Amino acid sequence: MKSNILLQIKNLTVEFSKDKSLFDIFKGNSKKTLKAINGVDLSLSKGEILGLVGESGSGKSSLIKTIVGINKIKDGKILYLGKEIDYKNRKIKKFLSKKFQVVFQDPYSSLNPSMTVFATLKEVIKFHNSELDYKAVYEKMISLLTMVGFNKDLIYRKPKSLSGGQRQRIGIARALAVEPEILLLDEPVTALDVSIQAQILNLLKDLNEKLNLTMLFVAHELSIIEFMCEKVAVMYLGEIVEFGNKNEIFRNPKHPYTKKLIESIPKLPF
Amino acid sequence: MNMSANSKILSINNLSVSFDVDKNKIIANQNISLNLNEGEVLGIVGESGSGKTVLCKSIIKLLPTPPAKYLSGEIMYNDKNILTLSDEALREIRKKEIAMIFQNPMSSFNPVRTVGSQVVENLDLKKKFSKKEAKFFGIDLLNKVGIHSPETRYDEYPHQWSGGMLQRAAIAMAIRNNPKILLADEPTTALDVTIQAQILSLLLGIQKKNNMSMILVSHDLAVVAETCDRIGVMYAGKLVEIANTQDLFKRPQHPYTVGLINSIPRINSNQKRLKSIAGTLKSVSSHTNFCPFVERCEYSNQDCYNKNVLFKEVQKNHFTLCPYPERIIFNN
Amino acid sequence: MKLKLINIIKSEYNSSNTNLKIGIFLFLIIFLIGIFAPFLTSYDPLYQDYNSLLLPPSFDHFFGTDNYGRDVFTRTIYATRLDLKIGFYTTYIPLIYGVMIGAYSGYYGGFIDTIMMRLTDTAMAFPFLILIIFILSILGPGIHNIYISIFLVAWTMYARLIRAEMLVEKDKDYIVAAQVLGYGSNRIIFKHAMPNIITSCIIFSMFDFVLNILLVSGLSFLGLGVQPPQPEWGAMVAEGRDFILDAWWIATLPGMFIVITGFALCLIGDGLSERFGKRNQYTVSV
Repeated sequence: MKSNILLQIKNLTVEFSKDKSLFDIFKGNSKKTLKAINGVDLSLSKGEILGLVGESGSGKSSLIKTIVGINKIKDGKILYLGKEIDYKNRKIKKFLSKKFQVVFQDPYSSLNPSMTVFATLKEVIKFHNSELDYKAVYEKMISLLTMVGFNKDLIYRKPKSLSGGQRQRIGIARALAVEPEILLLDEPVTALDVSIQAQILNLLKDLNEKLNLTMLFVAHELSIIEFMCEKVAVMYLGEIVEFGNKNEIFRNPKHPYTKKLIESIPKLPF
Repeated sequence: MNMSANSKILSINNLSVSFDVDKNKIIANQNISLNLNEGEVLGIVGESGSGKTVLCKSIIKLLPTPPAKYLSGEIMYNDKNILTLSDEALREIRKKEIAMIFQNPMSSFNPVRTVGSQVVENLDLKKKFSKKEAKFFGIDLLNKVGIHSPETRYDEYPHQWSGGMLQRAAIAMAIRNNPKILLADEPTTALDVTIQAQILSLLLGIQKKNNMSMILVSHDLAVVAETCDRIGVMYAGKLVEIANTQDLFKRPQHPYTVGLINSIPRINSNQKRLKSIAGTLKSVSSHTNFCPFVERCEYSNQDCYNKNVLFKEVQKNHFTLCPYPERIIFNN
Repeated sequence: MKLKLINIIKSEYNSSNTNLKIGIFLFLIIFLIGIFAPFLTSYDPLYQDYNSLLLPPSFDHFFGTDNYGRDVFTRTIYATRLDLKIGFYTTYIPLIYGVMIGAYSGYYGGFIDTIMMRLTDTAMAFPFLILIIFILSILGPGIHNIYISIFLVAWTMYARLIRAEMLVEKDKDYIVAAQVLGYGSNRIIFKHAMPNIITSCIIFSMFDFVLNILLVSGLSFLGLGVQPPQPEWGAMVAEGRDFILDAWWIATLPGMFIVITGFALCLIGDGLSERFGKRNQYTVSV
């Protein structure tokens, strides 16, 4: 199968530094840096759902923020369709927003609390398709809502009157409105109830199949990653410690952290 | 895990709790009846709005009244109803008999005081011991819950400790007077998976050693499956099923339980789609006599609305709210 | 735009918040009195009737007359217009640019933030009243100079309030989402973040309004503000000071208007903070 590599991350290093306080300057302390991402290599092919699993502090959320240009790259590069992305270019924002979109973990803070669903989606659609008239915008909105399974009678509601699952559907709809090439999902179901998780996971799988939408799925629950993805990367303290096909990783984990992770999962008695 | 039919240590009978929110009355718990046996680990599992946290807090009457109201029922411990105890007696119970740990370890501690000082605070023994001796006791306690170098850690502040360590300290605070019952309200939800495993094994170790009874509330079915002897399932304020762990997963007798089990992706099973429960989660609301799951249930029909459902025992120690559990098809 | 404001006031009024209701009601009364002043009285506020000096309140003169024979009631209600106008300008104009400075400062951080904050520090280093009096001593008294001096100094509180809120808000997911969607910074700051963080400033502005009216009244009392014969509450209290024992109505009744307005605004401020506080309440997990 000819793999069509969309995104390539090569030897990526991202650092967070704590600014020197007066005390540090006085004492002559050097700037403290924390390597959030340390020499990571990763590639994403068209139509694939790549799983990235790790706990807090592993750097998995930082990776997403780096891909969309929020975190600064210290070393290494990120390539899209073979060409290096120049994050320093001011015009890059428009490009990035059309290619990559993000679905966030917390459905309660990922939507603007003072904007209705209608207003949020209308803004996205209008911003990226300024030539559309009101009717066309509305139609696109309805088709998006149908795709994510959101009841269109609720579009004039504000997020606080919606459930977690409904908010997450809107988060997905908002990301899809841009028609991105790659959807980056940062623990999209962690904050949802189990029965709603199942609905959203099914939805994401449907979207991947219907739209051939490439996804980077970040989570800390192995069972969810195993369900969603074919290939899995395990992240620990900013590095990818293991990478491979999901069956291999689960049946034959090589790295001690992966082993520990698998052992720690509470299992149902089947 | 302790499976024998020991004596009851806690008995909740027909408990109903309501909340007054913005002129609406919300029934958070409706006619809950269950028992906790000596030395057993009982799991209460449910999603948001199921009422499980309200139930847990009610056991030691922790809910602020208003807005909460104990509509009916009793919670019997040592032949006394906790809900009608005097403040003094209630305080004694919370101090020595029934302890509780909470979901967010960060918020269990006062950020401006050292962890050590909080762990030994208001220790009964403190009256007889000096500050130094209390510290000695505290260090020993922290050691018991697996904190490394407790002598130096004792004088640190909560923000210097990780979430897992703070939860260990919270456990230390809870067990220091050797309580008979420990209530754990989602103790590992806020923690990483590897830390979760450690905390759960710590809890089970303590439970076994002291023959302590434990109620573990969680939304994670797998967590309760691994740790509990019996499991109660809650939905929309009602207890819909309760059974021994093995029985619950082998032969669930309520469609909601079946739906929950099916919603969880299983490792090494190559599932294409998860069999999810249709519709949205029903939260606690108004009083109903029939099964609260009826609108989303694939087996329900008109009959279910008419039935005044009662908790009935379908097998030994296995109770369900479903009036027609024989309809359920469950593939393991 | 105007319709929206009226709808907002209506919806606030209908909420079950007694403080808010009473406050809005009282303030509306004062406001309407100001607007309909010419219809409520037939006297001219500046007209001096030497045959009616220092008359006590009566049917002809509701609030009596002052030492120049002017009808105190008429002067009071005409002064309402001036005082409300002063309160509005001195509160909401600095609010606008104060909020802008604070918003940019908080959102961008770095160099811009440092400059803005040092500016704020400079302005706040001096006691407010002393600074105002100092500027007035250079520019001379008069209402326009009062405006200038307040505009120079009063923005700092709003800048600080908004900056603090913005620092917290900008890390929230929906703001990050807006950045990822490619929206420009101005749009994110003013269309997305602002509606969620402006509430503390709005509440503060209610109290600021009162304080500013008192400030101007105080300055007029000292002779630095509105010049005679223009009617202004504080100036009237000042003028009536000498007659407080014989003709108490000259100072006291305009003073009552200051009190009622201040009280109404405080109630509105309290009511709003209850209302907005409720909105931000997190739900109890069940």
